[in-house]
Amino acid sequence: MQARAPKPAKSRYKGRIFSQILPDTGLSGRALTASMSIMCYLACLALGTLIIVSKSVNLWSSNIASEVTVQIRPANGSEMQAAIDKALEVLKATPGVTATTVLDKSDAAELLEPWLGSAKVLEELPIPRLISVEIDPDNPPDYDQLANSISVEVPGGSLDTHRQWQAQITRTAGTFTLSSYGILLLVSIAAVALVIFATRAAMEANRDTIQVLHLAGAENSFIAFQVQRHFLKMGARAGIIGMIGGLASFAALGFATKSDQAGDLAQVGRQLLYGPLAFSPENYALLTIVPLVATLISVTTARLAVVSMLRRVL
Amino acid sequence: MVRFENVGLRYGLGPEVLRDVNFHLKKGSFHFLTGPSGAGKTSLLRLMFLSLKPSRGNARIFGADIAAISPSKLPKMRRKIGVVFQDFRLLDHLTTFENVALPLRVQKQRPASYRDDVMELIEWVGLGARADSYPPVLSGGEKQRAAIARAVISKPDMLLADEPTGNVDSALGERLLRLFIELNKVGTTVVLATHDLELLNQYSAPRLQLKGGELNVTG
Repeated sequence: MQARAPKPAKSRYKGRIFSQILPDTGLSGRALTASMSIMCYLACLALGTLIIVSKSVNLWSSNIASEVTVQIRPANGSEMQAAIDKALEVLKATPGVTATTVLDKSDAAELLEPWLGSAKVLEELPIPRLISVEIDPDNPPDYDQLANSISVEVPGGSLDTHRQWQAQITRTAGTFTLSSYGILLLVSIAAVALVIFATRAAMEANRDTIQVLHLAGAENSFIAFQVQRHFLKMGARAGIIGMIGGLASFAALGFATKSDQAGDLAQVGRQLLYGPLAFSPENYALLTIVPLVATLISVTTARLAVVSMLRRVL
Repeated sequence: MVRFENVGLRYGLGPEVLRDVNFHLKKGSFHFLTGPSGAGKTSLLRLMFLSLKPSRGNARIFGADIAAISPSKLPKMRRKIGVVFQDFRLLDHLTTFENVALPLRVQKQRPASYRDDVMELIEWVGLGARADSYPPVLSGGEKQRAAIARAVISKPDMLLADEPTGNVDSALGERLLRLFIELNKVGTTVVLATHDLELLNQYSAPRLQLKGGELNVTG
């Protein structure tokens, strides 16, 4: 049988994928990928914290905003039950009030028990009575007018709209939000600095190759493209690793603690991943921003750093 | 094509390695650049392939002042110049084929447009069987031939070769000299730096003789 003729030399390179002009060695090492992954993980945590705080505040605020309390203190010469009836009458006549629940004396005593001790003592004391008022959040009543009506028409009556607590929650949430944005900013700055150092190291490691490319007539943009494609891969890889780490941490937060209270961090952590009642893709979409931004930061920084360095070379 | 007038070159604050260099290379000329080691041959070549700027004097290449060429114009100027380095400067992570094709690749030409030309040149310099090999496994002579093939693949207007036959036997040296002469005949300006007397005697061409940083033109 006749041996098959060797393939003509000319055709051997047809369809061949060329090697990368700049080798991976010295460009995007494991240490750099690991450091960038940690940055992305921290960014993911900060972003997740933003979402959790925002969701928690919304939950807490909506709970508080949908309920107000009427407090009736025992007043001299007035009958408590008559005052309660009057308050209920005023509340029923107010648009935006959807339901009222009068806390009986024993419920009120229970609320005070941590501060005043045994319920027997409380029975003898003139304890204020509370009326829980549910509000239509979309059509709330005029609180100032309602407070005025209660204080004028109900002896010893006053309205508590919980605005003070709402303001404190908003301030606390604002601090958390600001801290998260600060962390995101610092992580981004650190990532930029890391990529600049890595780019410089890469350029130094490939000095001879870059010199040959220059002398072969390569434009700076061509060389920058060769460098930035490495950083594109590194940024994407690190971003995905960081995001997976972040998601795993939130999953752990959701499942490691057993609490199921509405607005609790663990519960909100679970909501972050799986949605309140249905799947919430916007949360995932927000977290996938991390690898995208990491890639963008890596590529842009590397390109700017390379072009800046090449400009100084003849 | 190349005109140097009173050109001087020093590295940093050191002494001048080239002093008052004057010469003119016409388009399509062939020159040998000779001189003892350390005379400044490589420095002069570096000026000519735009890797250095002169410290003083007027150095012009393709009609442009070397000291005043803007960085954006450098790549196009360099593409007109083929360089064979004394130490080859092949990229170890690329195959012989990829090294030779490098100048065309950086010009963003499509591989399909140059694949056959590159392979033909590699065969011509006797490296057909080594096209897929990486430089670390090539002998000195093979690296030299690959470096020459890379320098001429883009058909440059000017070819600068620093000791191109230093690592090859006399038969191959003669063959490579013929390649340079052929390129010169089709219009390429050639400057061949060597102190190989045998090579100098094989072809009659003007000589740029460097000694102690000063240049004399003979022939």
